[in-house]
Order: sequence, then structure tokens, then C-alpha cells
Amino acid sequence: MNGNSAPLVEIEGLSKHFQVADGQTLKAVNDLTLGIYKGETLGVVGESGCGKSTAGRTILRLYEPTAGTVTFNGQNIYKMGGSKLKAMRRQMQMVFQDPYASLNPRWSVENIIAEPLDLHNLAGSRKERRMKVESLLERVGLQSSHADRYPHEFSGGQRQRIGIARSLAVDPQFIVCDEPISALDVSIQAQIVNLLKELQRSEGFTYMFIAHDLAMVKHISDRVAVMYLGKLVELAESADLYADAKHPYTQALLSSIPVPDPDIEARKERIVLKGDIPSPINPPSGCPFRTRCPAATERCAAEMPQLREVKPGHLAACHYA
Amino acid sequence: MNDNDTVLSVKELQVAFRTRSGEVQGVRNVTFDLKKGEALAIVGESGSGKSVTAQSIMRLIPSPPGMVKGGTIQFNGQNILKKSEKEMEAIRGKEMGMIFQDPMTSLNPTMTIGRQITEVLIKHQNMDKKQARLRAIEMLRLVGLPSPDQRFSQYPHEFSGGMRQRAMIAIALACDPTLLIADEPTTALDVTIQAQILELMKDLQERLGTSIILITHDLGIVADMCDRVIVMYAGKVVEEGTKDEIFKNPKHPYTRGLLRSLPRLDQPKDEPLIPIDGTPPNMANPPIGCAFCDRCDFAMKICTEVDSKMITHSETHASRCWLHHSSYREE
Amino acid sequence: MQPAEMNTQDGHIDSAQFARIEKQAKVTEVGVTRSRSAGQEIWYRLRTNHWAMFGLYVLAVVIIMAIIGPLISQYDYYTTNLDATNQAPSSEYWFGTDNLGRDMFSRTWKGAQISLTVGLAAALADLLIGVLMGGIMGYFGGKVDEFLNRFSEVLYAIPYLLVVILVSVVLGSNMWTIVLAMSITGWINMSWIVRGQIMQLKNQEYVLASRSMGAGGFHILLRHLVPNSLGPIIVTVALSVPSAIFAEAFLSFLGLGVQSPAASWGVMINDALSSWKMYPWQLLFPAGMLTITMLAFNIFGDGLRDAFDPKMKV
Repeated sequence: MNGNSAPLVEIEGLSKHFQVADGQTLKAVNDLTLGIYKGETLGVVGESGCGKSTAGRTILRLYEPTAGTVTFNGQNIYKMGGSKLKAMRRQMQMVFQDPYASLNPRWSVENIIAEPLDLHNLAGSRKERRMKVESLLERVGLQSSHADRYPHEFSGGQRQRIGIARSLAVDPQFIVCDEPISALDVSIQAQIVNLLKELQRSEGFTYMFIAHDLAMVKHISDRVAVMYLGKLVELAESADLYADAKHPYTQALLSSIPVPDPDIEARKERIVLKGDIPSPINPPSGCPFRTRCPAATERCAAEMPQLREVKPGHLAACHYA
Repeated sequence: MNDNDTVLSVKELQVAFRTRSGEVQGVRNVTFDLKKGEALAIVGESGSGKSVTAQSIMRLIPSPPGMVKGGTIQFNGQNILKKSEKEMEAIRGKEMGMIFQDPMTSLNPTMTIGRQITEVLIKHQNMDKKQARLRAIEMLRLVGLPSPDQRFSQYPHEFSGGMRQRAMIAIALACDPTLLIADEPTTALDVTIQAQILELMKDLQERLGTSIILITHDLGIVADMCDRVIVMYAGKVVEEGTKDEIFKNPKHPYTRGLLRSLPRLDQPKDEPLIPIDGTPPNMANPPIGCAFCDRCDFAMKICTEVDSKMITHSETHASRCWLHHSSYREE
Repeated sequence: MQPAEMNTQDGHIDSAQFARIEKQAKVTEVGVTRSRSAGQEIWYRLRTNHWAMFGLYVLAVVIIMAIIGPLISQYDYYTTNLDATNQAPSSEYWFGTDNLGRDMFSRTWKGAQISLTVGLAAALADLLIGVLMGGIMGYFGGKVDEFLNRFSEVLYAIPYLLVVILVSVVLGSNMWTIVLAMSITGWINMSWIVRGQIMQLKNQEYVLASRSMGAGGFHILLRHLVPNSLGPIIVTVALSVPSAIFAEAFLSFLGLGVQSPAASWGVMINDALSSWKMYPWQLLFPAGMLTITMLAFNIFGDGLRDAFDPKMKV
């Protein structure tokens, strides 16, 4: 990562609102500004309703944004159309959460992995197509003979490998990993994380890694963004964020994770937040976190805190950070 | 060990499921005890048999295809497996409470929360409607629901996920059961809400002295709230011990692997995780020897031929691994 | 803890037993289990459902007889023979003759031809129109969906006898006008089923994945959504055949459909009605065949539904 050059993906003022029943608006992502640098892994954490998955999908233009821009390699992806957009999609890929739902159950593994090749006319002859699929399978740690099998014959971790192979097929630069391990068993999660890291090392991928498991996010990410109710509340280098969280929400989130070490657990003074996460349809005025924040004041209700640099390279959106 | 202290004693429990590809061995000779006031964690991955064990204790295994093929479950001095369905109904909800992973599917959507609690109380405690209502509101307050009077007459869909789980806990604890079985109670919840529920369960356990069996895959939760741990793999108990023994001195390679595969907050970023290779075995056709053997770094000839028995390391600590057999010598 | 369980296996074990072996599982997982494909699974469930298979065999017999029946009889279905009217079943006339001396055996199987043709043709029309309309409604949603949905609701509200009468007035009554009349409204049910399926499936992650790779609407609709809706589509087709068969018989019975001398079961039942007490076989054969065929289609369709989705089984 280097902070001087322009980011590979530049997200500016991105908002995505959904119309829900009764003419109300669900503000899933609200005014998100963020840069993702070439070769880095940006972790995005937050709880349900924080907008992390919507953000990932809007950045890939799977959803049309309500406002804002996303620039990829200097080009605004929302201004593209037709063949240019299709060509851009080769550069940006996604790995999905649910390894059961993300593979078409009626297709063979060969057809699943070759789908992006077919769509972009990269497959060549039948024989070439097969060879490409086989080499992709081997790159993700499966066997070339698995190409003839169907998704239901594989375990969750193996299916996730198939999903990863599919996203590698078109040689992308940027991959959004949307909770790629949260549906997997503990002993399998590490396999997938290691695979993603190995691929990053050999191919120079840039990742946006969306997750709710903070320990895993810390492990894989260079920088971590914390979201709450559609807003970015804190952004910092991962070690710095864990050592010195500035936003009260991040602090509570970090202290909420149970650590698999009885001594740490016994010593820990856990910050238990009161109440539930408010609905993103009717978020609180001012700071979205103020209803649960142990340090909230009147100012927090009146005034939305802006994201600001609280120390070099460490941004937080809190009046008192 | 004083026998009077033992609330639950499971011996050689075997549960199988009939499927078309043959009989799947869900639980294979599981044996453990639970003492009064103790919080026991059963840890394992999907398919390890941890949930099936819990369901067998409640006698909630769907049958067919499930069937208990052997063993005994002694609960408060009675053999659960010999009870009729009618007798079980009197035990469930009264002497045993259960909370599930998804509170939405375990609460009745067409009944108010209040009615779901009072129904249990009227059935098991012979309370009249008025008493039951008072007790129900007290329970709702106890589990930390704000304005319990109002909540009493609301329906499950008006509750958030965390509040539903609190309501489930209120129902499960309404009759002051001796045993609470919690099957992945926080898996569907967000981290900050999970912290609330865990805090609540710890607090209630301290105050009410209920014995808890907590089924989970999250070792962090185990470290947070349990006294003793059972590790299951492929339907068998592979290790059992106190929390400190399991976390600080794990003996079975699977337990070690599990602990090692978790990222630690103090781990340097460039250090790769150490995964457990491979996948769990197919339980329709489990290996003859140790079920973990083909994923194990220490696999030996004997492991493929016959599974070890539980080998004792201390009065509370035992593991099922040949590495700890008295004849084994480190090379 | 039980002492017996906690004891180590007694006695000394030879050290050769403790020889290290190579770990089987590599970082690359290899534990794939070969199991049945979805198609094989469905076929298995169907094959082991005795009722459904019974329905299938009965259908096979009816279809074969519909094809060869009129050929193996020495009489054709339309030639009248006034010397042999109202004959009881015999070695000469296997199913007897009607009041004009026509061979009931030929007529019954000719009727089967018409019934099956109408049933299959109507079901095919429902299938083509319904899948297309349902697919468009479900996939594009929004305004398109709203418009088509209103349109089909309006069509659905028109009494279908009215449609049949109108069509037969304009185009004359025969087998194909019945098929046409039934298709005008018949596809609606299918389109709703397909629409529901597609709405559910289009939020699946593999559809999103396909879009993220740059796939367009028709690729997604035809390669992902429709193939994954095949189960309910096939079941709906299988169950719409018997209702089309019945509708044809009913309309022909009323004189709105196939006309004599063509042999439809409905026409034959109508012909037999005036004298059924004297010549019960004239009613028995067409009515019995109609019942058997519909029943066979229905139980086979139910079996198909269970095979595609065992959870839906009641």
C-alpha cells in the first residue's frame, strides 16, 4: 500500500437508498467516502443493517447508486454503459457469502467457472475452455477432475473455492469478498482466508473484505473501515484500530467479541451496549450511534459528526474522539 | 464426585438417522455428566453431533428418521429415554428449558409473548391466569426487556432479534428449570447484541443456579461463560476438561487444531493462519479408526485401525487419542 | 466421569503400531463425495412412488391404445352400419356399437386421441405463453410486472365459457378452436407460478454473481432462472393436462366442441345419454376412459410434485 498514489477504487459521497413500503426510505449507505489502494485489503466491519454488503454491491454497480461516484482506475463506473461497462466488470469481481446460494445448482462446476469466460468470449475452443477451468480449479486447491461434478457434491469450503475460482477466471484486479467465510465451519475458515491471502500475494489483488468477525478482519486487512447504520464511523490501519479505537462504537464492538482465551475473558471489562440497533429506515438524528452511546451528549443529537482525521491516517466520526 | 450433585448423566448415547444412502451415525457413544449449577459447553462443527446430543436430552429427535440406538440419559434420577411422550411433556418446559438458534421459528407468531409464557406457567405450575401474568411480567423484567407490561401483549414480530431471544429465555426459565439447554443461542445475533445475551445468561445462571448446556461452535463464547468443555468430532467426544485445561493444555490434535486455526488479535498480520486440512468424514460411512486421522498431523498406523478410548489426564481432563497411550513413546 | 470409560486400553501395545503415517488430507481438500445429481434424485423419488408409477403405466397404456386402437379394430370409427346398431360387446365388436352401428372400440380410442391431443396442445400453449409472460413479469418486475399482472387479472375475470362460445361462433366448433379458446386464459395460472418462482430466484447469489460478471437479462432468464424453475413448471403442465381433457369433454358434451361424427369422449357420452339404461356400455366405455385418464394424470402429477419438492408433500 502506498498512500501517495491515487487509489485504485475511489468512492465519493456514495449513497444507496431503497424505497420500502409506505413511501419510506431505507438509507442503507449514506454518504460514504473512501479510497481503496492497489494491492491492499480494506476490511469493512459492522453489524446487520450497517450497509456493508449494500456498499460492496453498489461499488460493483450491482445496485445503481442514489448519489455519489465510484471511480475505478480513474474512470467513473456509473457513467459507463453497454460494452464499456461489461469490459469493466472483468476488472471487478465478487466472492459471495453463501457458498450454497452462489452456485447454480443445476450447472456443472465446469460451466459455473466458465460462465465469466463465456460471457466475455474468453473461452476459445471447447478444449481451451476445459483447460482453463482445470487450471483454475488447481489454483484454488481443488482437482481438475472436479470439473464434471455438481455443486451439491461439495462441502461448504470446497464450494467457496469454486466461487473463488470463478471470480479469478477473468483476471480481475479488484475483488469484493462479501462475508466469504461466515457460513463456514471454524476449521475451514482459515483454509479460505489463507487461500485468499496467497492469491493476493501471487496476483496482486486488491480486496474489499466485508465481515462481522473482527478477529478475522484484523488478520486479513491492512486497513479497516467500521460502519454503523449506513455511515462510516471509523477508518484506520488495522493494528492501530484494534490498539487504539477512537469511536465509542468501535470500542464497544471490539470489547464485545468473545476471545477464545479464558484469562483474557476473565480480565475483560466488557462494554455492553444498551438497546438494539435502530432501524435504518428511521435513523436517529445527529450521530446515528448516539442512542446507544455511553458518552452521548446533546450535541450528538443535534449535530451529525463529520469524519475527521483524529491522528495521522486514523479517521473517526465522533465529536469527542 | 458426589452423585447427588449430578443433574444429568448421559451414558454411551448412540443416535442414528436413517437416510437412503444408509444409516448416518449422528452420535456415537457419547458419555458425560453435568453437575448442579455447572455451565457445560459442547463444542464442535456442523455435523459433529452436538445439537443431536442436546435434542436427545430433550427427546426432540425427529423420528423417523432419527432413532436412539443405545445408551441411557439419567436426568434428576429418571431415565429420560424410557419416558412416554406424555411424561416428557411434563418434563420439558418445567424441569428442562431450551433456547434455540433462531428465536423466530421457536416462538409462535400468532400468539402474544405474554400468552406464550403464561401458557407454560398454567400448564406446569398450576397457576391461575392472574398469577401467571404477574410471574410472566416478572420474567420479562428479569431478562431485561424494557417496559415488560407493554411487551407482554405484543407479538414476536414486534420484537427485534435480541429481544426475541430474551423472550425465549424468559419462557425457558419461567418454571425455574434445573437444566437449560442453549443451542447456538447467539449465532443469529449481532456481536453487540450477543454480548448482551451472554451477559444476561451469565447473570441469570449466577442468580438462579441453573445448570446450563451450551451448544456452540464459537470458542470465544466458551471461554467467556463455561466451566467445563466437551469437544465433539464426528459424533464422538474427543476431549473433555475444564475450561482452563481445554484452552491452555489441549490434548487432542483436533482441539489443538481448532484453537490454532483461530486468528488472535495479537497475531502479526503476515503470519498465515494454521488451518485444519481436509473436511470432516462422511458419517454414513465413518472411518473404522480415529475419525480425525486423515486430517491429523500426528496420524499413526494404529489410528487407522482402531479408535482410542478416552485417556485420562487428570480427574477432569480426558482425551481420545493414541498419542497419550502409555505405550506411546515420542521419537 | 465413568472409570471404565476413562481407563486407557489395557496392556502394552507394540511400538510398530505407533509408526507415523502420512497425512491423507492435503491443504487441497479431496473429500468430495459422489452423490446423485438433482435429476437422478427426482427420478429416484418418482420411481419409488408406487402410485405415481401406477399412474404413469396407465397413461402409457392409454397413449399406446390411442395410437394403435383404431388400427387394430376391423371397423373404423365413423362408418355407420344400420344392421348392427346398439350391439352389446362381443368378439365381433369388442366394446359394442352405438345407435348408428359404429364400432365403440374404434370410437373410444379415437376419442382418446382427441382428448390427449387437446390436453397436450393446451398444456403446451399454456407452457409457452405462461413461461414467457411469467418470466418477463418476474424478472423485470416494476411497471412491466404491474401492467401484465393487471392484464392477466382482467383476462382471468372473463368467464371462460363466454370465451369458448365467442371463439366457436367466430371460428366454428372443432378441436382446435377449443384448444385456442382454452389457451386464451389457460396460461395465466402458469404465468403466476413462474413469476413467483423467478421473483424468489432472482435474488439468489448466483444470479447476482452472473450479473457481476456482466451477464444481461436474457442470459440470466434463460440460463439461470427458467432452468431452476423447471420443477414447478413441469408439475403445472402435468396437472393442467387433465383439466384441459375434462374441459374438452365437457364442452363437446354440451355441443360446443368437437362435433359428431368425430369421436370425442364428450360427444360419445352425449350420444349415449338418451338410452344409457338400455345400452349402458355406450356410456360406460367413454366415461370410464375419461375417468381413468384424468385420474392417472392427476396421480402422476402429484407424484411429480412430490418428486420435485419432497418438502411440499402433504
